[in-house]
Amino acid sequence: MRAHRDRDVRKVVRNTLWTLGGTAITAVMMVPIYWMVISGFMTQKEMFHVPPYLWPVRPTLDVWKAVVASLAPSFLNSVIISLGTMTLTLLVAVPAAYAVAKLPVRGKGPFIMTILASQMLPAVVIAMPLFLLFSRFHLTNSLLGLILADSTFTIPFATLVLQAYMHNVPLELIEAAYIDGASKLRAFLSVVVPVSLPGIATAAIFGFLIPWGDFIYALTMVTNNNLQPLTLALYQNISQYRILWPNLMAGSALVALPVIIFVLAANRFISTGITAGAVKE
Amino acid sequence: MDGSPGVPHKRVRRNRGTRLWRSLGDYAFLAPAAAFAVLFLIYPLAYNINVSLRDFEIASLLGKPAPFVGLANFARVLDDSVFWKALSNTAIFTVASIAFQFVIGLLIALYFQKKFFLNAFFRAFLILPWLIPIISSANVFRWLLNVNGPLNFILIGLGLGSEPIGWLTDPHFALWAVTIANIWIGIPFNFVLLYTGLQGIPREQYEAARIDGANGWQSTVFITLPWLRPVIATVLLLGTIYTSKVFDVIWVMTKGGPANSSQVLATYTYQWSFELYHFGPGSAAATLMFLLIGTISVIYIRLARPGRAL
Repeated sequence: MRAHRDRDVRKVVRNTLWTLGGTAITAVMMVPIYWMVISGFMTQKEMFHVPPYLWPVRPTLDVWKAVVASLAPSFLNSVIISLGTMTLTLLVAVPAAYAVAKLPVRGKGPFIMTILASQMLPAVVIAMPLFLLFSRFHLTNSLLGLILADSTFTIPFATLVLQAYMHNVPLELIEAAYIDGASKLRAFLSVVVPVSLPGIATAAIFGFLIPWGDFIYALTMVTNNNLQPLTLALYQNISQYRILWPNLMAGSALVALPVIIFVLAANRFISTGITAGAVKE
Repeated sequence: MDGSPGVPHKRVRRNRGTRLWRSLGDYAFLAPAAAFAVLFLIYPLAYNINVSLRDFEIASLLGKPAPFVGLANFARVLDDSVFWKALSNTAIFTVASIAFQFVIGLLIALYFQKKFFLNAFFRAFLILPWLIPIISSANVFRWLLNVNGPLNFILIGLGLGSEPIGWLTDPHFALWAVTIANIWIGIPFNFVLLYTGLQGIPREQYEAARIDGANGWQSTVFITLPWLRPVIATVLLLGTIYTSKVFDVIWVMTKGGPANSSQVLATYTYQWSFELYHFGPGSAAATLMFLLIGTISVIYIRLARPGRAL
């Protein structure tokens, strides 16, 4: 009896110690994010106080209000660009991944090589020609232009992640659909898509989050202030004159906030997604 | 067509029409992506190379002809000392970032293999640095590394220096400043992949080793690391590719300065094309950058997977 209890106690103690360690590790990694958030509640002078405040001494919402007001017009732009990129990415990448994983299509090899090579393309390599190309077609300073630009990364990325998932769809399921008289499209929609839903969810998440944080394409292709996404607005408006640090921090926090909320809620899909895309091949 | 992987035998009257329709249908799945790839990946790359061989200025956008100049732009770039500075900075930045990101990510991944209370809860937070918009992270580090900011306060408080360091204003430190920020941003990428890789190692391996008398260290070296080799290879390859392309962090924190001390290939290329509007040399630099990354990747893949045809 006593031996049992001793072992249980030791287990609990060990568990607690490991959890404490985990807390410490996570806390250290979260320091920058924490600092970003609390700084929004301070004034410039408070931020420079020595020793630095670890907690807002006199929390004020003034900075947050000012920043929300200046960033608000760009919020909708970011939402449109991110939703648009996500949608385009899914529409293009999901069928393509299926073709790569399951269908006997000729030209698969070169296609995959292109996709892989595109991961090596620096954004600047694409930004310059896209800028010039879009200039000809009056797509600079357009949300559609940004959607297309962001998709140059998300579509290959999503295709890679999804084709790994779809490799695992059992052939028998697809065959069963064909035997039941389903057309190719029907088999795809009613069998492959539902089974690959976790992978599709991951592709959708990245298809949204990556454009949300995009900076370089916005920087190169948008000069019209009305069409700025949040990242560009944050870069230009807030730091125009002498740097107002609380504002900069609050603005950064606001732009990051949807991501933070979303990641904490949808964590499972994100981890498995990155791994599937990167490790399998 | 029939009987090949993915296409079951169809119990339908087969004639040439059906066969043609079937294969066309297959291509329909790939068509949008292929079209996209050609339009927005291959064409821009080809255009980029074309511009790099021409005297292409801002006026050329409005129709002024851009004469062919052969490799003159490339010569101009290769003659520029800043290019070489950017190249060496990129190498230092990449190697240092990856070294720290990988080791820290691996250590955290090993730690989190243990089942303890709130393990999954913490892992959700640990991925945030990588997914938060980079401009947000870069701004935070602009503050943390400010000459009057928290990091200097800690360093001086710990006795690691008597003077505050101008992380972003001193040419000796600017590259390290952006590297520090980039390390923080990249740790989760390594952590997630390594963690999942570790999860995939069958527990029986460790059981068997323990029976044979292996201790913790030996288990790690002789079981964990060999099993992780493919994951490690992937993490390092992708990490190298992604890190050598980094633009946002550096641009927001230092713009490559002061005095080109934190200039990397991505920012260098950007400045040629979008600040000086000399698209010719800009495209040449971009092409060189792509060739460099591509070459390193090919070499790496050949080394990591001998015998695998590419």
